[in-house]
Amino acid sequence: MAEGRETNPIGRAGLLIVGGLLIQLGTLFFTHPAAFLSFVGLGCTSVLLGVGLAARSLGRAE
Amino acid sequence: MSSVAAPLLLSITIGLVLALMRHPRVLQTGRGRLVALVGLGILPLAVSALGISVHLEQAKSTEFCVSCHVMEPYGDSLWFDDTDALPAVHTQNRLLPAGQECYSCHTTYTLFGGARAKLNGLQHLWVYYSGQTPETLELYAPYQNRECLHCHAGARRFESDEIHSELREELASGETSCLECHDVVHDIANRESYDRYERSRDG
Repeated sequence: MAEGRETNPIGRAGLLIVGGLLIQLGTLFFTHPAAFLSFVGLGCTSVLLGVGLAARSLGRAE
Repeated sequence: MSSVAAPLLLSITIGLVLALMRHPRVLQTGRGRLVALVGLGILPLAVSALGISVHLEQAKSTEFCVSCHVMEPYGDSLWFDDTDALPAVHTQNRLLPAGQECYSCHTTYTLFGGARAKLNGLQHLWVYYSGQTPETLELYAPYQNRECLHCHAGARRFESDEIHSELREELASGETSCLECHDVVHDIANRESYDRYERSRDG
């Protein structure tokens, strides 16, 4: 089980991206400055980190 | 349109990423890598950009502006029962796009006016959330006639007014401010003394 997790090159990156996208999705339904800040500060940051990590993981796997 | 597309695309992207996480073997094929490029790179970045544009569009709404407590009295002044108060007259007579009253008057009608308004908005957020809100709110610069004339210039009611005709040049050049005559704007100091016009709130 643990081995399987380690061989998944996008596990952590995918989690960051999904987490960030879920935050973004949630904030879209609110017209409030805090929603905008959460979208950018948490959502976009998490997605960017995830995309960066995915690129690195996939590059290394190659 | 984008307010519907953004949640939909976000959901699709989330589904795609979850599918890739569940089936990582797909990534070992050439086609799988292409899917990964789209699902883990292009789509998340694209939907994030789309989401930002949706939020920026929502930021034009009066609901957004008055959600900061310091702006509540200003939002309230849109509904003062006073035919001399500029914000009330413009709002209650639907002279401004419904729901975008603040933005319509306080954006700058220049090439980069919209962008500047949004940058100012970000600055407002920083000031508000960092607890640096001043006791008295002031505009960054004196209100320009340009913003009034953007809508009123050429309008029959405006052009046929005798005083406006006499002052045409001065108003166009900014030598005379519109606010010299129309001087009741957000009279929040006397907020308690006004009745509220309730009917339009429902409409």
